[in-house]
Amino acid sequence: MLYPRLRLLTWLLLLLTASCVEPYEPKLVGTAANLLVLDGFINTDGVTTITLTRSQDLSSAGGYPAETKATVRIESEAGTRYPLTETSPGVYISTSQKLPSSTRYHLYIRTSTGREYTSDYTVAKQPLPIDNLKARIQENGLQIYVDTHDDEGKTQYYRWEYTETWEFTSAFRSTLRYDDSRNQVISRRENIYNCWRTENSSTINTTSTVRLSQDAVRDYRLLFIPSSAGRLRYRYSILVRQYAMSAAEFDYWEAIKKNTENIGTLFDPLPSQIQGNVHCLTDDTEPVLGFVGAATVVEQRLFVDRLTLPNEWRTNLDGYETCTALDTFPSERWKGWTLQEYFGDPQLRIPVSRTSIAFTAQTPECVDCRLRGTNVKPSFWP
Amino acid sequence: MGFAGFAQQVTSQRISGSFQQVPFEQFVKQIEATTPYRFYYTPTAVDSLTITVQAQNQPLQEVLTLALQQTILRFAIDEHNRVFVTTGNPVQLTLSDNFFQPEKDEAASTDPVASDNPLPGNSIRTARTSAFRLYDIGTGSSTGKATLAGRLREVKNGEPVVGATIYSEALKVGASTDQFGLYSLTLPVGRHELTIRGIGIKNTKRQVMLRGDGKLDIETEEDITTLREVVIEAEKDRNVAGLQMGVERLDIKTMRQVPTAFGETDVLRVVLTLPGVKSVGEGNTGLNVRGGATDQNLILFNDATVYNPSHLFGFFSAFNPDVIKSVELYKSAIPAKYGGRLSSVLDIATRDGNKKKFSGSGGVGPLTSRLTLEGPIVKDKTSFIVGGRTSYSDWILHLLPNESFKQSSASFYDVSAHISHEINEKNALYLTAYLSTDKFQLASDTAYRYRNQNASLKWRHTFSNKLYGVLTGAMSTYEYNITSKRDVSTASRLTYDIKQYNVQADFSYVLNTKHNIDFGGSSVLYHVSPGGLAPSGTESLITQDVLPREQGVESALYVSDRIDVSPRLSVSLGLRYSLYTALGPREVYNYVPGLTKTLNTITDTVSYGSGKALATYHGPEYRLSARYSLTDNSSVKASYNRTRQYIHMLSNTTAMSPTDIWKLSDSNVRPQVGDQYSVGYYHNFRANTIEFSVETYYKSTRDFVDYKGGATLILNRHIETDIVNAVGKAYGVEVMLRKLTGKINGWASYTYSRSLVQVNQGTTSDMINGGRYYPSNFDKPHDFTLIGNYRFSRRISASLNYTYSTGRPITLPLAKYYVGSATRVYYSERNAYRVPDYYRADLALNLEGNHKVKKLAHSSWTFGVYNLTGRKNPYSVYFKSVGGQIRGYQLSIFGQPIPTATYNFKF
Repeated sequence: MLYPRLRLLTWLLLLLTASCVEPYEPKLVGTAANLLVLDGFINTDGVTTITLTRSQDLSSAGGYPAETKATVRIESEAGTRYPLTETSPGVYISTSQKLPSSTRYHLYIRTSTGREYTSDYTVAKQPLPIDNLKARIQENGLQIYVDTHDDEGKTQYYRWEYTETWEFTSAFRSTLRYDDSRNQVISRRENIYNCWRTENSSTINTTSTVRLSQDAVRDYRLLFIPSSAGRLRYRYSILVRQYAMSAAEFDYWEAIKKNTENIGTLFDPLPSQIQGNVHCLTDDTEPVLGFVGAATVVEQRLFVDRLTLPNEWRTNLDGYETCTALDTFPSERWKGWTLQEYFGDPQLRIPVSRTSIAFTAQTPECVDCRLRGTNVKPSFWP
Repeated sequence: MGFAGFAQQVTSQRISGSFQQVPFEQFVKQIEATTPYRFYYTPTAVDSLTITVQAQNQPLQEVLTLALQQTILRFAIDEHNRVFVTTGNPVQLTLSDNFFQPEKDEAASTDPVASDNPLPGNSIRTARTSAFRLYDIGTGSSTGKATLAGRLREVKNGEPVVGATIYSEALKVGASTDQFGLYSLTLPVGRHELTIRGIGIKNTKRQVMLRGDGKLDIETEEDITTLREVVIEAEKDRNVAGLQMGVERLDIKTMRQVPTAFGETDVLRVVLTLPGVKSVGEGNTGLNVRGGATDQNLILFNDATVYNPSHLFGFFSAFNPDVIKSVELYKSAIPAKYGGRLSSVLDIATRDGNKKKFSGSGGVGPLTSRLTLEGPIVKDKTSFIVGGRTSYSDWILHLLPNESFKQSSASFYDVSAHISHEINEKNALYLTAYLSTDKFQLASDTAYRYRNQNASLKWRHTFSNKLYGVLTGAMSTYEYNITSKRDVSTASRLTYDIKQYNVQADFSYVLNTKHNIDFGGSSVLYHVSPGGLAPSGTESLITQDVLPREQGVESALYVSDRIDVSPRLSVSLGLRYSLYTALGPREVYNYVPGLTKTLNTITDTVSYGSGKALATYHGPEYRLSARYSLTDNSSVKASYNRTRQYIHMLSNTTAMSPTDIWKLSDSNVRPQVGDQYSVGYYHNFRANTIEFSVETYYKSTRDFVDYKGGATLILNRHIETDIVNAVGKAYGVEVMLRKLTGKINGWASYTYSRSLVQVNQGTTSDMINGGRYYPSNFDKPHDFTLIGNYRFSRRISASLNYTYSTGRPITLPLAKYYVGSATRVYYSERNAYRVPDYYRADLALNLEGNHKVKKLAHSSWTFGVYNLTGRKNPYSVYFKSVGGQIRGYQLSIFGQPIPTATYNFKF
């Protein structure tokens, strides 16, 4: 939508008129569960990863069923085949390869039940470097921008994905651990206080320069991090992947965005039944979900250090808000408990530190940062 | 026959006295003793007659009327104070027909000699007594037929009375007044008693002696009781006796009683309570009439087309209630005079302004205030009315605890002005101007502005008693712009506008008692600037992108004849022939025939020069209707209508939005055509105080615009690649029961209706729902509305409004899947499900000041509660991906009871 702020206006009207938003659970007569879903793209310079899953009822919990034991390959228009192999259930990857840019490619799939699918042939656009990935301090947070351009004016449609990684700590630094075999509290060697957490973007970030006089993207607002976000507490990093897209793929992502990311207001467009570019050869009425494009990805990483951010920004202890005080043992409260009874189950309590007469302790959720990330420092981390 | 001398003499010769069972001869002697009157009568005719009457300083005319009203005796008084009492008809007193002086209140003149006396001021008293006078009309033949014509006006302010009927009960022949209060009635020569009835006026009668073609202007009194009583006191037997079907006429007094969310009378909101009229939801004034889309309604404001009839994105209608006189909605038998839209005509007429004295009215509400002034410029000849309305909602925004709201503003205003000037008896001019503007500023970066500008000039000329014509010139403009300044590099300004210029000539000719002929022609020139995007600021990278202007001319000729075949059967035969031409300069894409229109199927581009026709469409529009009276108070009516529409609104949102764009037909976008058949049964009970009607209809439309999934409508140079031509059908039954008078009154209506759409052309990917019929966005099968009023006293009344309808169709998510690191939703076929049912009850209490007819200022308070039960009616249901999970939400706009208070005044 050209003017997404119309939505804000609507909210304003809603406030004026005592409107309200409530959860809604419709009674559905029939559903369209169990449709084949493709996720991924044909990487013309590197490893192609395609994930095959099945759709699910809205109400069902748990992961999406993987489509296993399928035959998956990239095929060029000239007839060359590049097979993919299943490495984990539903995940099919190719070898790292460079596909000639002179021809068009598509994906071919045959499921274990013998149904065949192909995507439309597509040309991979030439990769363009990210000109600039920058973070700017704003009044109440950090805004991340991307710049890129194509002097030849051929790209026009861009999509970005990103992976955020940040350093964080648990609420309490534990220097001790309980050794069950010795029934003793001993020093801890492993650091479970400093960790790193990684998250992939779940929003769709696309833009088009069709209406601009140059094929140039200036200050595309990729992401805004509020000043209170725990991500900014120590050091933050973002890895941005840029894809050049075809117009059809752009339209597909725009439609997906309209359907699932827009706020439902008075003036929102009607949702539509989106079809990607994958078709079932066995039964052309069977809907197939997903869009398989071809692209060469360029990446760029940005680090943001706490020291470069305003001092007055107070970050939250994301995930550790309830970790306020430490328990003490032995104490009046735990009268009659043995050390083994108190520390025996590491799911309940972890020793934090030792005072002259007692131990302090807290739950693993407050002490063990590995529950929210990894204590293995990423290779790219400075 | 004039009682010219009488009125003057009577003022000095008043009668007082009390007569109880007094023999007639004694009564006469007493009067002759105290006054110069002398009585002449046949003694045998009065020998057993006794008189019972109370008189207190009253003219003899009134006293005698009262005294003799229960008898067969009639009387006449001449200029020599002679009183002739006769049986049956009164004696005709004048000897020469040219002996005529108009009485103060009314002008009765003989044609071709028009009354050259302007209408002087008068009093209510004389207007009332006019009912007893005998008007002598015309000269000439004593046999055959003659035409009586004239105007109906309100005595108080000289406003024309629209839609009133004037008819002879004995002959069952009648006519109704048009928008100027004009009527024309052909009757056999001789003596007639004419009954005059209409909305908001007191029923009255006129005695005429028709000798030849002539003129009779009638002044009527305001029916003050209806002010708080209600309502559709209207044409009491129009339900049964009127030829028109599917017509709803509301006057402003009716509309004032319906409770609204913001306490202000809202014309469109009241129209929405009528059977067959729906909208997709609250806070939205887009009308869906009998299963038609919101762009299929011709909304006329004194004959100028209004493109966006709403303020604040649809929360208010854009018409100031104080200026409006009446609203007429044609939903099935659309007169041949109107054309250009498929579903309905909503004709909004302003008042002419008080021709007698200066006055004003206004109101103060929580969000808006309004003021209207009116008065004579030249007394009894020229009057003006000007009304304005403005919002002051910014203060509420600034109270909100949010920085971006504090920087926001939302405001609107509208101004209507109308001047009516009577050049002479035969010519009159009417000038109307209208302006409405809305502005929104959001958090200091995006500003919206939209504006309607209309003007119309009408010249009415009466050629003769049988023929008059109206020449109308009008222009309408609708424009909007959106300025975005969020990012320096993409700061831009988007503009859109549509202009329309129309000229039309309408004639009304009364051939004879059996034939009323309307004919005329019209021409509309459209200019559409379909969109322009321009950079805003020097650093903006936005390129100027202005879509080429579209132009077209729509012309039509029409003729219709209302034939009264017999007293029981009336038929109206109408034909309108419309012709549309899309004009250059423009470049038009040609597509491969038979294939989906996409960028890949463009074969070539054809350039048309300025004024060159690039596409022409034309066709007949049939307008037929008939009425057959089964009994005096029941009838059956049927109609068939064809309508053609050459302009389309493009909107892919559920609600009507100010940023919707209008598109003209061209070589790639065909005009819409609709056919409607309807049949109805009408029955009035209890002396026309209870009306009952059942109407059923079937409608088919073709080539109306629907959209492919994810269509782009803004700044699209090849819009035809994103839209599809749809076929629609709609049918339904509307049942309505109205009680017109009494302490409890109002109406209840039930409608069962369906509205279905089919897109079954082009390739499979173009088809919606596999090419099958699917419910339109506004398909709500069951609909029940109750508007009830209860009058506690003359000053206190309460209104209750209750509505129920089936929930509107929506497209629901069926399954979820995982793509692009987030859960996505797979939607159902279009409109396969429905939101929960809608119901709402509103209550309003009107408190009036005292009811002296004449006082300095009248004021009233309206207190209301909108959505009394606080039901959270879902306006919209949507699904969102929140933290990777799909959650459903329902959004209610008025989710709790909303109290309002409005102060209204009138001076």
